[in-house]
Amino acid sequence: MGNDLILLNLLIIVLIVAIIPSPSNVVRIILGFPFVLFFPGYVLMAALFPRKEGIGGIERVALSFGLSIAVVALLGLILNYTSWGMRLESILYSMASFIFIISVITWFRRRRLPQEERFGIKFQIALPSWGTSVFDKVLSVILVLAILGALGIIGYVIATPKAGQQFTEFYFLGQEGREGSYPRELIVGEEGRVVVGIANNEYKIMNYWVELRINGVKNNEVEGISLTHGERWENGVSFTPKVAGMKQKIEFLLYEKGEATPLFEPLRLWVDIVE
Amino acid sequence: MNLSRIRRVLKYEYILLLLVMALAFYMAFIPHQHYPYPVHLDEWMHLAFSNEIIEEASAVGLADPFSGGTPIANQTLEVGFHLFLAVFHQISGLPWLDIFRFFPGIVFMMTVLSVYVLAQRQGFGWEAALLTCLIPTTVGILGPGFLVPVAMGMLFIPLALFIAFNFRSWWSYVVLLIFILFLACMHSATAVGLIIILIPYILLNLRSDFRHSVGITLALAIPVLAALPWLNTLVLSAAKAMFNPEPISGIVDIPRVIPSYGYLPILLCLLGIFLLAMRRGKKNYGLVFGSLILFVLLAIFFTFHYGIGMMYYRGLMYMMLMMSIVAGAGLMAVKNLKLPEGFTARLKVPLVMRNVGYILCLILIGLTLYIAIPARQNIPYYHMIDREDYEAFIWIKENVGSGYNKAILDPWKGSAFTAISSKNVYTWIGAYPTASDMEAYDFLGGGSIDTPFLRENGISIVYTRSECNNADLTEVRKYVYLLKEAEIQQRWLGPDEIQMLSIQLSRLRSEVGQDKQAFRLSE
Repeated sequence: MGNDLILLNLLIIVLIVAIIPSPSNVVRIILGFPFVLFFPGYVLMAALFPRKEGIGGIERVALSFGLSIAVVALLGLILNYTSWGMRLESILYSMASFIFIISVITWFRRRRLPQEERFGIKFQIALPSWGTSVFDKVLSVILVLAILGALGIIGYVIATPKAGQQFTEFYFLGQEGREGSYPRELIVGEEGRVVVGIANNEYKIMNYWVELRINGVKNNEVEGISLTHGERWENGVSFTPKVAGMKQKIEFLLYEKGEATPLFEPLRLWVDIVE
Repeated sequence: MNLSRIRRVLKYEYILLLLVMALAFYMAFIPHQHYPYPVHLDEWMHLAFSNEIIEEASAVGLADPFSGGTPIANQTLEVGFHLFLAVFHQISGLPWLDIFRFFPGIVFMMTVLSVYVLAQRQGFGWEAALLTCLIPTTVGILGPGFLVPVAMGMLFIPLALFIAFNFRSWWSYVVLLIFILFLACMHSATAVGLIIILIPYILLNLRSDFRHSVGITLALAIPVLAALPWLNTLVLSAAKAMFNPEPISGIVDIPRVIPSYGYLPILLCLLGIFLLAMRRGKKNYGLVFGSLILFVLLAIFFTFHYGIGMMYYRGLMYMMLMMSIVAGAGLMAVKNLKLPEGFTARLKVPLVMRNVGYILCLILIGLTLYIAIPARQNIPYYHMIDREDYEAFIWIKENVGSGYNKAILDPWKGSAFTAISSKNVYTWIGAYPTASDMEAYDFLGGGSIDTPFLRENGISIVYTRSECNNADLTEVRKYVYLLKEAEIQQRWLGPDEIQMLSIQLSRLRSEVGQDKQAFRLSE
């Protein structure tokens, strides 16, 4: 009998172990794909059609994809009406349970058939044979290189963030570091404070400086903000109005060091300044 | 499994299939090739719905994520699709953008594989698979290039036909039943389309294999009947619509679809129909009549406007799928063309002439791909948002609290805004601009100065790239403006507290009202 069901259930255990402690990792992506798109359908097909005869390998593969998609959605639908809901853990455990139960049924159904009629794939860990001819050996090397290359590309694509999304984020938040709680009314000479944020997503080290203007007149600046790619800077920045007036425009400008024009149009805050 | 075994498995036919599947992936990737975000409006819509399921950990009792009101039709009728996407996103941990960019290609590869599986038992597997790759994707009729229910539904048509044509055990009916059950809750149009395609085959089997006909009928009918209590309003409205002529949307019609599919595959389809009819047999007739009945229904809707509109708009996809399968038989016929043996033996014709079928087949494939690939690359697709919009919407999701719940922005970007930020919008363009969309354009075009409009409609976020001259709005980030009042509300009261206060207020009002009434009565 094949050991496909054992291997499949072992892979699911690996997936659960990979997901639960650290939700974001490469194993999750690599195993998550077949876990959703192939395993449920494969075991169901094996349970419904345990005989070798009548259905070919490629046909099983195609039907496994289709059945997996259908089963996953229907399991999700059932899960909706339970107290567990559609959470990661409940989805993971319910799908793993489904695959395990159907695997057990498949095992029983296969056992009732004569050995030669049973469908099953036997995975063996054996040293690859080189073949007899030079042509065979060359083909073997090419095949191994192709598999390694494909795995390498998959790993690279997953591990390397996509370049090309180069941008800088610039924003300001209230004093408490969230939106809201902005200074709205100040007395002349009173210090107003906001939290200014910059996030560098430019795939290079960036040197920024921030300028604050009140009604177009420079009031404060912050220099020497050096950020590596992916780094975020959030800091309190103050401004002190010197002239009274309603709805005065406080502007926040972000520059790259050495550049005369700001990276963006200025951000704006209106504040009433009273005597 | 050792290397020699792997080599044996990778036989010629499968290598050809792998190449065809790679072509399928590329074809479905074309709309996303130079654009990392979901392309079609419907993709954004489905992203918003799936996201909502994840956030609420349920698909039951959800609100419309765009307006915050009662759920819209697609949300309930296509829940199976959203559930699948939600589960896939949760388990794989892949970002939504990657799922919407690459998954259409993966689904289309599976579709092509299913077509191969269906047709290979009749001898034209890779031919049908290759021609299936030519199904176009346009913004009007959708297609395999978008991650939408109709594209996923296409995968199940060849699989269901394969099961119905080749298996007669009760377990095969269980598989059919699972497929139909899923299609009924994912995309009912596909379920109906599949039933229509299978009807001729069921009828063909009535006399010679009655049990099989009954088996397929039960497998198709049970899920539909089981779903009837939930779908009764839809079924009733569909039944009414069948007898009321409905105007056809200008962006979808058969004459436009034919050139985008290609004239050569259509010719091959006609040849395929002829060949399959000549071959006879229930499977061959099943394919031919299934395609024809679908075509007739679409033609009736197109000409006389009778029928269900949705079946027409989405049925074009199934029709092209069936045409591709049948065209595969046509291509096989060309491939098998041979000069008469007597002629080749007597005249000692060169090798090329002896393999005239193969050469003709290669020429046809080359010509078809030469025309089809650039044509697919040149199909125009709209892009709803750009990088700056995306960054701003992400920023709003991460930094703007629940006190700011409703936004006004270019209605065209409304669906993407909700999908990314999970916040409601004042209005969004679903199919065509409405009066409220025009109001939004007027408000934004006028410098966003109408604060009473914001107050009346409970809007607290303005996203605009136009000049904003409203002192009641604070520009907290490029193009992102927050209403001051909402900020004050956010600072002092949480949403629960506001709700509690409003309940108390309404109680007080009613008490005051009762007191007034009692006072008047005593007077």
